[in-house]
Amino acid sequence: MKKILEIKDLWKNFGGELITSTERIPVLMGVDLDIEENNLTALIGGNGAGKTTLLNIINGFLSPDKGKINYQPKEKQILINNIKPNKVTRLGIGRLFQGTRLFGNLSVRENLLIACNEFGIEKPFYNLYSFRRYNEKMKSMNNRIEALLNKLESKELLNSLNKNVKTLSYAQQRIINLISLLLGDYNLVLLDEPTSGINTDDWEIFEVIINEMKLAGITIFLIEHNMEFVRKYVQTCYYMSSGKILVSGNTNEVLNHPMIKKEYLAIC
Amino acid sequence: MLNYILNIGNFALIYIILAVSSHLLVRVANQISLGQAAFFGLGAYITALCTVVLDLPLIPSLIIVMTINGLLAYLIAIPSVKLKGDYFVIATLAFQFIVYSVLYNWKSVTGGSDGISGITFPNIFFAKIVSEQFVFFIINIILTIILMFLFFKLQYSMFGKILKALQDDEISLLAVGRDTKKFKISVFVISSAFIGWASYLYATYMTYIDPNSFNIHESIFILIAVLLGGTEKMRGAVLGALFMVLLPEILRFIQIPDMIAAALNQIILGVLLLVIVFFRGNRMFSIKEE
Repeated sequence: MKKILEIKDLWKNFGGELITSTERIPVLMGVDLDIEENNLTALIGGNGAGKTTLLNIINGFLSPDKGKINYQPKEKQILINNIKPNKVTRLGIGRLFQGTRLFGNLSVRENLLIACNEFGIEKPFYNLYSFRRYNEKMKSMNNRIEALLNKLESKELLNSLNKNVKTLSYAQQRIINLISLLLGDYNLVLLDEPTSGINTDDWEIFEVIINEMKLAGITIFLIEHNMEFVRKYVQTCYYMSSGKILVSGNTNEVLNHPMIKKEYLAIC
Repeated sequence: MLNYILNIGNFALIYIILAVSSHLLVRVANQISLGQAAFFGLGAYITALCTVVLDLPLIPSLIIVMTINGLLAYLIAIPSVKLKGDYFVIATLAFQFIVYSVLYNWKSVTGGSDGISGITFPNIFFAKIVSEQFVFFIINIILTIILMFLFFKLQYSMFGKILKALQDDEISLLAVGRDTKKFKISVFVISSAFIGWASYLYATYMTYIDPNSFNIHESIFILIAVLLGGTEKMRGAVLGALFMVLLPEILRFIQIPDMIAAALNQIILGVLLLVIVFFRGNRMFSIKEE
């Protein structure tokens, strides 16, 4: 299968220099990781293993000290270390943050409109000098949002489209964050603990969203602590500990690995 | 009496232009700027250049004032937008003081503390039939309505939505592919360019300008006008500006000695500012924790 993202020998030290002393241990120590297209890949590991740091580096919020990140959405391979986060997103990499991160001053609809990533119509005065195109685009974006919500059979969200996002529950805000990734025309999405704070009862909509992503050809890479979820949906697993990938492979193999059972699953 | 009302009306409209153009920057994008009077002043001096030296009519002068103000704002914005919250305020404050000192000390060009006089409103045909002040008032109203329309359209477009999102969460905006710096620079430039309209109207109406009309107090005055409205809707800025202009006049009407009235004006504004800071304080100078 084609690899959409290839990470080679990635190092990151928040101390600045690469000194492997007892005090300044790098957060990432030579991470190698491949994400295959149209696949669900998970990254598991204890707290402080460097999982979120890895996502932040892929996204461009942090720059690596050493190593390569190759991104290949189509035929052409792009090296994406040290590219600004907004440019990385425009290349087709979406991100779900830990916790909820919505625009609290805006309504649900406005949040989803921003998620549609129609960059062209956001120029100042665009709705004046090109109002027909603007109105067309706005209408098609609204239709897209409503069609998607209808498809997900989420009546609650449809009814609260014009409410402020802050009035919604945590789980609903989280679901809006996830839905946003379906609207933005991404090739690869990085999810940081998507199930945290969501009840097992709400997993249904989760499953629907993940299926929608698969249908849309979006590759998913996620950090997850919920092993039930990983067992159920994930095909490939990477186990990370103190900045190193220790075990990788098929989900079943990884989860039945004696060292992971002893070190991680016993606590988790 | 009519002249008195027209006079107040003209001032009110000029301050509405100032408040509405600052509103987008301060309220919608949450970029508190204490340099608005600097752009107001720069625009006024460029107006003087256009009318006294170059003798240009209304529209070319407006375009020149907007362009120069916009360009300067662009240069100022590039380094300042890297700063957040209070630090951005300090950067704009510094700009305010620099502009004031230049206007005050560059005597050969700006006339220093003597200012520039003899700025004339371009001759308009109707001015001979009705009073010049009335014609000015009409032009003032037309410009104010156009400006309010433009800023209304800006605020309720996708551009405005992004600005509103900007004050919530910059990291998330970056993560959905928006260049937050570009948006901050745009809003700063637009706001400063349109302040040029107020400069033009002010300079031609007063026919005389001096640096003291554009000092830090003026910036604070504009900022209070914007914040007084207490709402993100544009009418907040309009009402705030009206209040600020009308308050001294109202105090003049209620038959109290001038000395007390002037002090009372300051006291009322001071108390109002305290109330704003007390109730809306954490929104006024907020940096989102990351």
